Amino acid sequence: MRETEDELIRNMLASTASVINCTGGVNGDNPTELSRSDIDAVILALLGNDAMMISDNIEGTLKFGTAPVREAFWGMLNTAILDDLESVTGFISQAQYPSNMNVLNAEWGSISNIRFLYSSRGSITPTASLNGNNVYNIFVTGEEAYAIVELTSATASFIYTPPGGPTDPLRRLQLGAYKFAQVPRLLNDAWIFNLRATHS
Amino acid sequence: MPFAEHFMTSGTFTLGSSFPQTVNVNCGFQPTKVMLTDETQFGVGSSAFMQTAFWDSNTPTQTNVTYAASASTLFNAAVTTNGISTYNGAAASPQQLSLGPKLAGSTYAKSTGTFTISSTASLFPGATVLMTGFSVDKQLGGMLFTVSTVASSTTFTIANSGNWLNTASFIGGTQTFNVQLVTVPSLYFPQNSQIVFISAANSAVITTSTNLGLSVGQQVRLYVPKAFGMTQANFTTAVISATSGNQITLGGASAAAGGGFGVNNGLNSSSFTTFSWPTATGVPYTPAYVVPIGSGPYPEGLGFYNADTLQDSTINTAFQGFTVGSNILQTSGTFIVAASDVISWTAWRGDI
Repeated sequence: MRETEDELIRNMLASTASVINCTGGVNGDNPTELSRSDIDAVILALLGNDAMMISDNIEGTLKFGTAPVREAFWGMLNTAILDDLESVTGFISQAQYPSNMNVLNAEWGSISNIRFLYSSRGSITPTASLNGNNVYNIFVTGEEAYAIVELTSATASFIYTPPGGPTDPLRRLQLGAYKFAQVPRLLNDAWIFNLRATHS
Repeated sequence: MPFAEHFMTSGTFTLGSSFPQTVNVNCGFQPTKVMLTDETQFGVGSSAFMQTAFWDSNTPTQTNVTYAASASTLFNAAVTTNGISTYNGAAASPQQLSLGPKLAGSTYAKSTGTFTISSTASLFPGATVLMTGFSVDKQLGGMLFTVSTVASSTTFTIANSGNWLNTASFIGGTQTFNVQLVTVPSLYFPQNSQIVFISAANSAVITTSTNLGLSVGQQVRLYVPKAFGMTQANFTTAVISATSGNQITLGGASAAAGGGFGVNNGLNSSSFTTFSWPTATGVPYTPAYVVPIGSGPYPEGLGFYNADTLQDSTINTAFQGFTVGSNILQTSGTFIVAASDVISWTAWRGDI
């Protein structure tokens, strides 16, 4: 049920968020694969629209191989392009963060002022690039760019009916189901961008 | 163990004027049996009008149609492509679209927006298609378009309003490309759409590659990257005062004139730089977009405006039901229907 809720929010963002195509890559497609100039472009666009960052900076410490992490917008992407993400100049793996206190389970790393969350259910628009390749929708969001009106406390429920219900005297049938009510909605389209990319 | 479900529901829909056409019917579930009756033409003899159509999941690729041979005689026809089929609006998830097979394209005329492909059998006016893989005019690759007309078995047109395609930015003519029918669109409405042209006028008219389905009073924001020239329009917001197919007009008559679209909520682009497409060498690029952002200010009495951006909030438009395809709703062929016909339907779902 929770997964379905997330997928509905994801689909809303894919349908309605403003678009920036990756153009700094070299794979010859439109959009291209992710590059540093594309990351910079979306950060500048969000800052230019007065979007606020979500997470605070993580200060540097005296640990080998670590690096301070800037305050950041959040980016959400599909696992299929994590290799491209790691190839971008300035990528810092979450294992290299000075502190793990505020790291999310789904966090892969950060680049400049964006920290990235990954999911195998991340948004894909199939065969939608110039060359007919899958387009990966990376949602880069500032604070309060979108909201979800949760009606779950009143309506969400997981329903299980064991064998032997009123219409099942032979105790052959059982039922598992869920229902919920929820409304996802962009609050300010200027504070979130869909950074579209293909795979390298 | 199968999950026991038993549903039956019914309703009607009225045919539009463009043929062939496809209608997606929301019946709340994916049926295992569908029955159609052309209520307008039922009993009309000797004109090959469809009388009834029947489909069930035992032979999902075939729709059985009866049509009038004379006042007292019926003929049968078996439709094996683009007949009745189930429609699952959730099928697009986790991806954002569900697409049909690739149809190879060979040429297009930029003066008319006419594209030649291997077969237009699955296309219909109003359908959305994804075009990719242009060998010459790469700017068009990855764009969604609304089909305007299906001119022949191998050609269809897209809306070329403003003659946006017939410019020096595009070469046209012989080139390879692919066309795919969008069988299940994005779940949510209203959605953003790619701008293909903005007129330099007061009020500005925005032409998009697909029919937006927006309405008067909704507010939109324009994103116009530098590559498209009319940078003055970038990040502007305005209220829709008129819609027509794939065009929206931003602003119009003043409130004093009774229009209510004159006070800082239209777009006067008459002095803006001309909107122009990048050439193929400008690929990759970020497209120009129009994004619905809610309900715009609307007049409440003289001079007063109210705005509630949470009105017109995004709606999940996905549903389950069935599709009545273009080989059923046609005006030429073995059997026919006609514009404005009322089609009644009954859909069942048994144990599956």
